[in-house]
Amino acid sequence: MIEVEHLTKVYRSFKRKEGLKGALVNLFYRDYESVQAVDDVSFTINPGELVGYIGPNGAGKSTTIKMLTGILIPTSGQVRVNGFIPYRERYEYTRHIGVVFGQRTQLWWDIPVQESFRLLRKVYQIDEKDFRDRLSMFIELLDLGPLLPIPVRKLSLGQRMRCDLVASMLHHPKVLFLDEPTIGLDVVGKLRIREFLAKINREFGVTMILTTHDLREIEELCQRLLIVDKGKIIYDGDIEGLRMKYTLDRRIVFQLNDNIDFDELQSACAFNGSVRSEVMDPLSLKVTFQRDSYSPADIIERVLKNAPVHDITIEEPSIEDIIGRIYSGQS
Amino acid sequence: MSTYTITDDYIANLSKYAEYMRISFQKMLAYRVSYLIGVFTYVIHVAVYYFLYKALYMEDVTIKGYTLQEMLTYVSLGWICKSFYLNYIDREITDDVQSGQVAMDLIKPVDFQLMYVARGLGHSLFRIVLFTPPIIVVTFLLFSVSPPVSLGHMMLFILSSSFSVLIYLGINYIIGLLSIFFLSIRGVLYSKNLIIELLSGLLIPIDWFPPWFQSMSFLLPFQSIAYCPLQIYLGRIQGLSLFFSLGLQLLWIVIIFGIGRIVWRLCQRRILIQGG
Repeated sequence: MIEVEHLTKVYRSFKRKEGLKGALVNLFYRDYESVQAVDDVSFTINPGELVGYIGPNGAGKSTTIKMLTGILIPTSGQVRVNGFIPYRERYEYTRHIGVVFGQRTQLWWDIPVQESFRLLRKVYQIDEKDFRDRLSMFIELLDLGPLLPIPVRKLSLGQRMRCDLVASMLHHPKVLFLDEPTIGLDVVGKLRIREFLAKINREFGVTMILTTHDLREIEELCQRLLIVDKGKIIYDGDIEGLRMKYTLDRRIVFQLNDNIDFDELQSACAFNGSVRSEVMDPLSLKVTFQRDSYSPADIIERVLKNAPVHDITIEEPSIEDIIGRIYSGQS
Repeated sequence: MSTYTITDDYIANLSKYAEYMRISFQKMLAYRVSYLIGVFTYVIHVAVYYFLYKALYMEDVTIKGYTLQEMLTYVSLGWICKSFYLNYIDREITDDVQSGQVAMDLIKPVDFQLMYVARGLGHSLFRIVLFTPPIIVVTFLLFSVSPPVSLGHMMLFILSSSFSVLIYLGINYIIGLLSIFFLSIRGVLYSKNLIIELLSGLLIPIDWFPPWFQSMSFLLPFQSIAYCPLQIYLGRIQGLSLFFSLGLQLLWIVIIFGIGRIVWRLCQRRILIQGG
């Protein structure tokens, strides 16, 4: 159970003055500027949920994850994860969580992967038998067997990431924080990690927060979506809801058998002003309409009555289009 | 900031830190070949100081209470000690903090100081097992080095130089943490090496310095790193003074580790507020 209330983080950074004179001034007088990375964020995540936390670069995703994992103190507001206040009870709290930072590794670079796993067994004081059982299950799920004796520096990014995922799961955490776990991976690597995350979420009920820029991942994994921009949450809900909220426009493309008189067709269909129709090439007609003004069936029925149609495509804007529009501020 | 108790961490979880020591040892093992090559450059380094003192003495005189033979033993053995008390955890801490990798340690139930001390001990263990023995062999074969004055002194020398490992480690830990407060720590690390070589008595015995310098260095922990074990080896400390010297080393260990814990509290606060 993750509870976040009015969470705010303001970074204070030292503003350097330019030039030699500025450097001298800096010695005696420091000017600070404040950056509000997270701005009054509140949400609750229930046990077993898999939540996607997305937003453009610099939206405050990583800062939030850092505060949730206890490695950053909030400027104001509350965080509680399974009853712990992360930064205050860091030592005890970290026993119960797993963290994956896609840009970092918790494996030891120069030595075989299995040695890092052995270290983690001691660090989290995992029972020998539990450790063996979990490790062999993960090895099977992620096909890690051949990687264990290899020094981490010789692994590919995808292989290393799979090992890092296992490292974060060995102590059976109740909550898993994933900050861009698939960054830089190829399609196959991403797929493998997606499958693994879906499985452990489903079978072990591990609560997960996932930040990513890969929206395919969000669509396939997350039941719920939190979108942040400029430190604030701008959407909290499922993907269908997001479509409903942000895509008022829908589109149907008709392939025609014969040339038609466009003006004649338009008057015959008698759409109201919210519908835009255009001829793309002589044999195809695109109709764009608003979700709440007509139903697709309505549109299709009217066009079929008035034109020789042999194919119909209903275009749904992709989640990527929607989020792209939100990011660029034209929702 | 953590609410765990000392006993919980120091006793029940010792195996955790033993594992950090083991893995650090193993990491060093990955570079064993470059260390074995390093033996030769190290011996050349020792030879420079060895022949410098030989030239300084020219003939059989006693300078400030040291005969030529004592001085040659002093300098050779000093560098043998350094070959195992040296560690690079200051650099490891600096790198981890500057790259942000320190976050990966903060998300684990480990005590930061004990973890780094264990890692430093792993370095020293590696050095004692693989780096120091060939250096001892080559040094004793090539140079004129006296054996210890008695078996008792030999045992106390081993004890005293083990304390040196801990003192050096505790200081290095604090130096590494300073990187959190400075953007560039290269200068700090460089001057640290010079200051420790000088004030530990590794380059010149402390009793060759002017009186004011001597009294200052006896108020600092550095002379416990090299000067103290070497004086024991040469038999220049006898009787009760032996126990006083070892007691002083122990006292410094306690003080330095205590300071280390305080410095870490300040550093941790800063990391947790500024995000590393």
